[in-house]
Amino acid sequence: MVTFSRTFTAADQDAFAALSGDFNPMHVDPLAARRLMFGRCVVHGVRLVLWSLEQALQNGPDRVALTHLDASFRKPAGVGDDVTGTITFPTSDSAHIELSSGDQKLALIRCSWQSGDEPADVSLPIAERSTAREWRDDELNAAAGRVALSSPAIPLSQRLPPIQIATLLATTRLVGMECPGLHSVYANLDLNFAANSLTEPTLGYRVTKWDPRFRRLTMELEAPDATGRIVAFVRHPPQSQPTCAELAGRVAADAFFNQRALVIGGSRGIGEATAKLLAAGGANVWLTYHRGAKDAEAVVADITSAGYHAEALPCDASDPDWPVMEAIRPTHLYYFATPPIFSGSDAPAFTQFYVTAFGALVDKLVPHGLTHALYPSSVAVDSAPAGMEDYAAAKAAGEELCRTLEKNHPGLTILAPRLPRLATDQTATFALVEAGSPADIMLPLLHQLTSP
Amino acid sequence: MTIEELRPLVSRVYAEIFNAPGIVATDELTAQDVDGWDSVSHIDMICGVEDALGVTFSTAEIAGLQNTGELLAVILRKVNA
Repeated sequence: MVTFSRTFTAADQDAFAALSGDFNPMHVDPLAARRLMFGRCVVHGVRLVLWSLEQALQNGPDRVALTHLDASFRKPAGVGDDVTGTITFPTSDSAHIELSSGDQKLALIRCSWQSGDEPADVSLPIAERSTAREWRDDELNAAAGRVALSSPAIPLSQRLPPIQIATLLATTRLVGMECPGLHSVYANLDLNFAANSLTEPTLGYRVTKWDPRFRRLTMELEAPDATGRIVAFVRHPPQSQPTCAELAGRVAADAFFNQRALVIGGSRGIGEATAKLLAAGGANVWLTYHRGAKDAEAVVADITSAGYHAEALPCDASDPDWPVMEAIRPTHLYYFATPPIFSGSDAPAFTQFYVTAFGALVDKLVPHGLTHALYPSSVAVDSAPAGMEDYAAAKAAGEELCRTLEKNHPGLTILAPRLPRLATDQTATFALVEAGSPADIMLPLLHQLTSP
Repeated sequence: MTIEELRPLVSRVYAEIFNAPGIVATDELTAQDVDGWDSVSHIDMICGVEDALGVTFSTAEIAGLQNTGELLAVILRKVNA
C-alpha cells in the first residue's frame, strides 16, 4: 500500500483550467463558487485522477498504456484542503486508489494498464478558453457533439500515451464547459482504452439517459483509442429571492417602523429575504456581506429602487469592525452568518460562527441600544441528520447561548426558531429534498420578534 | 419473482455501487451501515437497481424508503404486478 498527500491551491486550479480548458466557475472563480452548491472552489475531478495516476505509476515500467480506468467522485476536494491518497495494487498491472480528506472519502479510482510503446507523435492544440454552456432541461435528452482534444503537456505524458491523457483532459472540459456545462457536477467516469477506427482528435459524446428526478445524465463517449461513459449531475442555478417590490405587498408599510435592523449575512439567501422584508416594512436596514460585495450591492439596489432604505457594509462575522457595528446602533440584530454547511465545514468553524461570534456581537451591541435579536437555529437540532452532527451540535449550543444572553442582558429578547430547510444556495441539491421559501418562513418570525 | 431471487440481484448492485464485495442486501440494511453509502451513491444505487431490474421508481417511492427491506418490497410489487 502506498500513501500520498497534498493540497491544491488556487494557482493549481488556474493552471489545470488552462491545461484542460475546463474553466467552470466552480473550479476557478471563488466569488461565483460561493453561490454554488459546494460554497467554494473545488478541485477538478480529473486533476485528482491524473495526480493519482502519477503516484500509482511512478515505480512501474517506464512506459505503460492504460487499458481501463474508472473514477467515482463522491465528495468535492476544496481548494486548500489536505487530500490524501491510498493506493493498493491488486495485481502488478492494476491499482485501486482511494482519495480522502479528513474522514471524508472523496474519490475511488481504479485503473489497469499494459506495457506501452514510445508515444506516437501527436500534435494537439492548446486548450481554448470558452464560455461554459447552459442547456435547458428539455434539451439534455438529445445532447450530442464533440470536443477537441488538447495538448496534454504534463510530465505524465512521458509515461502514458499522450492521447490517453488528452482524452482524460477532454472529459473534464466536456462536463464542465460543454455538457452539462455551467451547472455540472462530474460524478463518474468509466473508460476502456483500445484501438478503434477513429482518427479525428476529438471526444464525441451522446447523452443516453437524462433523469430529471435526480438531475443526472449519462453520456456515451468515443475518442481515438477509447470508449466509455460519464455520469454527471446538473445543479440548479443559484437560488434567487423575490424582489423587494414583490415582497412589499405582503408587509404592512409600518410593520417594522423605527427598527434599526442589522442583518449579518444579508447579501443572499435567508438574510437577503429578511433584509427585503424588513425594509418593505419600514425598517432602516444595514446588511452585511463577507465576500459577496456585488450580491450585497444588488440587494441594496433592489431595496432602494423600491423606495425603501438599506445600506451594505463588509463584515467578517468572526472579526467585525466593532466601531462600525456600534455606530449603527442597531435596535434589532438578525444573524445569518454561516460557514458552508454541507461541504466540509468542521466543528470549530460551526462553533465560531454560531456561538462565539454571535455572543460577542450581542455583548458589544446591547450597550449601544440592541433590544431584539433573531438567531436562526435549525430543525437539525431535533434530528441531527447523518453527516450534520457538528452543525446540529453548534446550533444547539447557540440556542443555549441565547438563553444565557437573555439572562445576562435584562430587556434583551432573542428569538431562536428552529428553521426548516429553506431554498438557498447553501441547501441546493440535485433533487428529492423539499425546501421552503425563505420569505414565507421568515415573515411571521419577523412579526413575532416585533410584537410586544 | 421471490424475495430469495431478488436479494442477490440487489446485493450485486450494492456491491458494485458501494464498492463492497460480498455485501448482502438484508432487510435491515441502511445507509448508516455501509461505508460510502451517501446521498450521491444512493442515487447511483437507485439508478443501478432500476437498470438491473427494469423498473422505475417514483420520487415518492424513493423518498419513503427507510431500509433495504422496503426497497425490496417496492421492487417485488413492481416486477410481480
